[in-house]
Amino acid sequence: MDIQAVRNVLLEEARELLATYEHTLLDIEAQGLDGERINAIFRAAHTLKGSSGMFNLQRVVSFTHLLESLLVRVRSGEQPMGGALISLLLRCGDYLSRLFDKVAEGLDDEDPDPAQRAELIAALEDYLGSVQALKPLAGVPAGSEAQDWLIGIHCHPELFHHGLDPLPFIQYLVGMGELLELALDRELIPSLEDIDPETCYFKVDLLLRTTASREALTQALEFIQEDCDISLEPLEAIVAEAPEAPEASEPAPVESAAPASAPAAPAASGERAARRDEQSMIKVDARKLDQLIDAVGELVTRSARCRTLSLTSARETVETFVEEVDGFIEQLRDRALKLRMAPINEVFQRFPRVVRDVARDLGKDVELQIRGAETELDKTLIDKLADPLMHIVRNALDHGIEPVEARQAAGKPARGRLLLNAYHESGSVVIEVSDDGRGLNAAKIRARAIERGLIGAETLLDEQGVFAMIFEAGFSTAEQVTDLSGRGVGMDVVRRSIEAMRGTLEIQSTLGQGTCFRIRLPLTLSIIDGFQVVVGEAHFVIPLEQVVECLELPANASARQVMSLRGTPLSYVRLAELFELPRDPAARECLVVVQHGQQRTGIVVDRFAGELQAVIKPLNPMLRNVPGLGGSTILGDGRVALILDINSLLATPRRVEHA
Amino acid sequence: MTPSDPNAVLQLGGAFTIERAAELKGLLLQQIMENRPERLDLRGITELDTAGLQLLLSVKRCWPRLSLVEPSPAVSQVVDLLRLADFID
Amino acid sequence: MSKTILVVDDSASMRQMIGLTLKGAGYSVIEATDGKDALGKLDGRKINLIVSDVNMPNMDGIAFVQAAKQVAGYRFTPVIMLTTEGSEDKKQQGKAAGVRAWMVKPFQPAMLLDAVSKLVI
Repeated sequence: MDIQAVRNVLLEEARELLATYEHTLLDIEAQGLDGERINAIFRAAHTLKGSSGMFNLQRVVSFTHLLESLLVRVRSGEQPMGGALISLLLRCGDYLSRLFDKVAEGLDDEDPDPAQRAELIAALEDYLGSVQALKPLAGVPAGSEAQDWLIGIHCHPELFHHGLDPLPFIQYLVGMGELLELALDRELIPSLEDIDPETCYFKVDLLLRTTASREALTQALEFIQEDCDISLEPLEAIVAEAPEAPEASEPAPVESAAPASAPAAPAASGERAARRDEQSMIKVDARKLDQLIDAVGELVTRSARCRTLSLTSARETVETFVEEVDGFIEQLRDRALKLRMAPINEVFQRFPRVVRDVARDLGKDVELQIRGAETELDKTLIDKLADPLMHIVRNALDHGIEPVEARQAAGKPARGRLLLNAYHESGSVVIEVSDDGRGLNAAKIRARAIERGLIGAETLLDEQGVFAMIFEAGFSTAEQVTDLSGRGVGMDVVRRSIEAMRGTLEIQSTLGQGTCFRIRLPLTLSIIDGFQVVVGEAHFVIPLEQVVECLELPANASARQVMSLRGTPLSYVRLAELFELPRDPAARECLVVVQHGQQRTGIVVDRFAGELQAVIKPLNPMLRNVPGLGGSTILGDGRVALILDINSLLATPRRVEHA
Repeated sequence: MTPSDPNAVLQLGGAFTIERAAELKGLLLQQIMENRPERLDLRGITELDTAGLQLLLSVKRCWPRLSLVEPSPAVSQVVDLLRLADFID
Repeated sequence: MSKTILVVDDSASMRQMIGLTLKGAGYSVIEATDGKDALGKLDGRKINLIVSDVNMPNMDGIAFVQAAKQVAGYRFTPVIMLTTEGSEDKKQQGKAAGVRAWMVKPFQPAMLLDAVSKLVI
């Protein structure tokens, strides 16, 4: 299990959250307080507290706890927001940033500025009326411990021409610690006949044990950093390899142990080799990957254009050539996209600890099962999935699984069961969080939704529709407010995050037996196989994996928006009507049957233009808020086509409204 | 071409560095092709940098059976640093 | 074999300070007062590293480095360029000329030795 991978996610996340926290505070100062803004800073503090707790970052947790408590009061209106408070909150953010900098260096237990911390805590407590006095922190500040770093240096060919040689740098690194391993990639050096003697082919990986910080290591390589690809990965803190201490009443720190309690034992070389193996997954800089994918995207676009040209000039040879290129590009695309793929375990592996701690806090007995941890999906999605999944799991623990007595009274096993499951299904990744708890009470949810004014008393909703209410902002059925999910960081955030990933969320629930949250995500965000359709002058792309079949619209079906397809009723919509597009009313119409979730719906267009690979580009800002559009793409002839987001297109029955 | 002499040794010497790399490549190619040595004797090498090392590695790549012997201190320093002990016979 | 470093700076005190530091660490030092003078010293002798100021009369550091890269035997010689705070445009020019190692004056002698050790073994 690669704790470091998760740790990096935590750090990245913390930086993002703190950035949001800060700019939102500045917005409040400049433009005033509103619900959305106070929610945003509250969520940032809340999430920081939650995820830091998983890594036992007690300094962050205790500090953000105070911060969060104060923000709760601001949100409820008890505490007015003013200039002085904003300044205090900003300084709290600065302090947290510095705290995370220490964490990034692996110095979890070191306070960057104890005096400032004390001062900020005193100020926060002043606002809070000292009710939430803080327990003194246990543990002694850690000195810097030796850590193993995996350092990769891949020189660019022209390095020598800049008066550089990698050897002195390696010598210099060796001087900073103990060189455990070094592997030079000799395969990259051509044979004597082929070698360009003034080109650098040097690529080396080294494993260095050192007390030096990341900054110091980066500094050491400063002069060659422009002429090399350098990777710098800390392996797990050496102390974490010591045999696990018998569980004491205090939870044992997983990630960092105080040096007093766990002396750094030198790892046996066998273990080291094993860890090296675990590192055989190469970390690739996401930006470089994006550049690669961009390049592939350009290729795909060019090739499409090439195809168009070849068809107009109708030369067979060109066509054969283009076909070959197409095959090659497809291969390239698949490989490039695979680079982005990572096992979902990267996020799943956070949960055993979370479930254990949360269940313990709630006094519940819960067993977590994980299935399909090896299922792969886009790395960006994995990162974005962490938060919503955390909310759902906490929600399940909080509201789903009953306390032991209630379970026994209901004749269920005392120990509750929570299952995290992931699998691939027709071009999507499905992630399920299911519990064997009390299930959702549709009647109660409906009543609550009416009470909250989310729906009218007479609104007709099927069970899915009722369940979907829990994702509405301002909905909460928690009778008992706990400090985990009960503070109102709601499921609405979950829904928004999932939708932002072009995913869908559905709930299955049986009262008294349990609930299953099912997230369905696309495999990737970059390129899709699409089916091109035309309405009037406008071109659209439908994700191919959702296309079931294509047929001509029967002439008699035009009045009611339902037709019979081989005996089964099929409702359909006209794209021309949805988007108010001009078209020749006399033109014949075609129908694309699409699958979304468990349903099928027809989409009526003028004609089909065939399959294509669409490189997804962001939408023009003017179109960004139009439901039903997922992006745009450039066609082979240079025209722009809009990519339909079928799920949002068909999510709600729409009425055409004239602006 | 002369038939390969089982005892042929090619003596290398001087600075094996980037400034001379192009020249050295030509010399190595010519000498190895003409004389088909069994061994390269490295004791005369006074300096070795990455470019020089690349040349030696590329020789090994072409002629894996050619053995590199008698490393000078300058060669040993690099071989030790980069853990290339197996590269010297 | 001791390594030889060419120190180019129009300030005598600077040359002296650098020279003492390097000699103290066991390097041989050749001094030059500006780019033109330095170019004349590239006469076939072995030079393992050049430490050069940027702003100098006659020929500045950038022009000198560009010229040195055309001289056989010195095309790949590492260079440490000394700048002052705020000479960002010079730094850009230097980078374009292939200079990768920069030090901002004033610096501690230890920092210079540290930088040198990254460029010559």
